[in-house]
Amino acid sequence: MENDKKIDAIIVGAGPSGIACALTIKRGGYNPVVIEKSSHIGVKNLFGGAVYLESIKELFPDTYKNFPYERIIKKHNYVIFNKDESLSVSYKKNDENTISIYRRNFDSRLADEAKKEGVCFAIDTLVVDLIIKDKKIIGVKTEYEEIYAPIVIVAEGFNSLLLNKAGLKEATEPKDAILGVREVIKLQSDEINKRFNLKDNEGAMYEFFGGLNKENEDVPLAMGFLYTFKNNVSIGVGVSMENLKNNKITPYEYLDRLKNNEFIKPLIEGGELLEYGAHSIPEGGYKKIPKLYHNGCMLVGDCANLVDSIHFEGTNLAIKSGILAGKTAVIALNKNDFSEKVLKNYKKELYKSFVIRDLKTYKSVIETLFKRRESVFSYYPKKIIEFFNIFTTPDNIPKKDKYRNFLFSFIKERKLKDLTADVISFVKCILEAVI
Amino acid sequence: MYTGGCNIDKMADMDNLNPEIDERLATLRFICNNNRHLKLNVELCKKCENKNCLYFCPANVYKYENDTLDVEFENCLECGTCRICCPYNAIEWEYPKDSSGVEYRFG
Ligand SMILES: Cc1cc2nc3c(=O)[nH]c(=O)nc-3n(C[C@H](O)[C@H](O)[C@H](O)COP(=O)(O)OP(=O)(O)OC[C@H]3O[C@@H](n4cnc5c(N)ncnc54)[C@H](O)[C@@H]3O)c2cc1C
Ligand code: SF4
Ligand code: SF4
Repeated sequence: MENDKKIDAIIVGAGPSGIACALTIKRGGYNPVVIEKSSHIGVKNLFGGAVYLESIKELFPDTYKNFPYERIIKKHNYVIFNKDESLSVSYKKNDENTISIYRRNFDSRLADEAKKEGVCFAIDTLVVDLIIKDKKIIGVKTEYEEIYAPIVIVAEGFNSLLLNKAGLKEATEPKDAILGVREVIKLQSDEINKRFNLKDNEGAMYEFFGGLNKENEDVPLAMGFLYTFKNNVSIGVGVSMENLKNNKITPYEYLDRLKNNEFIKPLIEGGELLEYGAHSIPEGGYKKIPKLYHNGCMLVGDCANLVDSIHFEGTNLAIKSGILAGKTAVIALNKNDFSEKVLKNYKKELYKSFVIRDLKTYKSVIETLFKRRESVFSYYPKKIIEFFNIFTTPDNIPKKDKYRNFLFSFIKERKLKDLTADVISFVKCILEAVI
Repeated sequence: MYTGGCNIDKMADMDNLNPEIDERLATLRFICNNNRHLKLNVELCKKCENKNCLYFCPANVYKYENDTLDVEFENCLECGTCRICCPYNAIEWEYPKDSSGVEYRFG
């Protein structure tokens, strides 16, 4: 590594959080170095496909529009389904705040912008350990050498080997993690426009609930997603590792079930599989955020569990946390004090921002979704679809009788214990979201 | 660093919506390195009744043949699922060195 300039800060990982942090430190007048294990920025990273632009705008208010976007997501669809019926809610947005993009293009563009402003990247370099001395983090050990700096920012993503090894984050439990498996399927742009009812450059995204278990199988906490790119679509499913661990069903079997659903199949049929992949996502929510700062060290992005897994939103939270940690690093460098006393400012700022406020909103949702997953992903979707069936089927039975029977069916089919538990959990989630 | 020889760039046919896992893996680019980044503590595996790593791994890296567990580490997607889900913590898990391992074109 070039050692002519003094290194003021080491950032481990060139994902969105690490790059945003390094750029913020550089803009504060200091010299950060980002260490990344991959051979090109972004090539080891994978996500669903949509970036919410707010945080990018904050970093690049003038140039954010020039990023290599694929489509501007205008149609947001939420679909509940079971074996052969589905119910969807479509919502057309006229703003230009959500776009689809590939990580290889997104991460490397972020890095190019940062390089233009003088941020130094050391690629092809795996960090194997944090160097800790007298309870202070003073540098990192890479596969080649030791590098020292007054402050180290860990942006290593959710599979947090370094933090686990250094005892700065507890081992993740299966229930606090989701595995996302995803395929990119090629379908020409005209065909995408036709199937998804889009104009050129317009994109669609889908979230899918339910329908992934066969009869007598445990209902998994699993949600599907689909995003459109220029010529391709990305389709995937996120499954709780607790279910993967116990159910003896492979992650790609869940993905196949999603793809073969009567509603989804026509959207991707005839396409060509371009690429398969899998990556993990934090699921523990607000309650599982590790300690965010230590003497000489801060945690940003996925390794700090900052993901809103209800909306598959992570890149914008990663970038925001990177910016805020970067600002605190600059304060610490100005004061030449890297103790927890100064670095706790990062936590304070993060708690004031949308990042923690959003995660707090959904504090109990994930836990509830998991505990009540049979209700949420199987029973209620079935009932909602049943209701619409009644609503839309003309026959000679008076609607009023049918509605009444429908209401009674809850009591007939459901144990009182389950109904009460459902109601209590949902009310609790809603109260937490609004208070 | 050795990077030649095993960059597979084959595209699978999607008429069948459920390709075999090997066909899926063939769509990926892997940079090879002979360094095993996943190591098993076989004594712990002997105690493990369910061997659910045969199911939860998205790349079918763990295979059970002739009474022994075979680890095809070259196909690993580095997702970390086995680190989290192995009930005996029997897997010594590291990232592949020399920037080897999986790379995405459409991540
Ligand atoms: C299936 C799936 C779908 C998703 N969909 C979306 C979506 O549609 N929209 C959205 O906004 N978010 C989505 N997310 C979440 C989003 O991808 C993450 O929140 C975001 O990438 C986090 O950024 P990060 O910088 O914290 O970590 P990462 O993006 O994981 O980056 C970490 C970087 O650190 C490097 N690294 C790790 N360890 C080391 C080491 N020891 N030495 C050197 N380098 C190292 C890695 O190679 C990587 O480049 C999705 C995630 C998944 C898994
Ligand atoms: S689950 Fe873990 S302990 Fe069991 S066989 Fe697999 S690796 Fe070994
Ligand atoms: S990290 Fe993921 S892909 Fe690799 S062996 Fe473990 S479960 Fe399989």
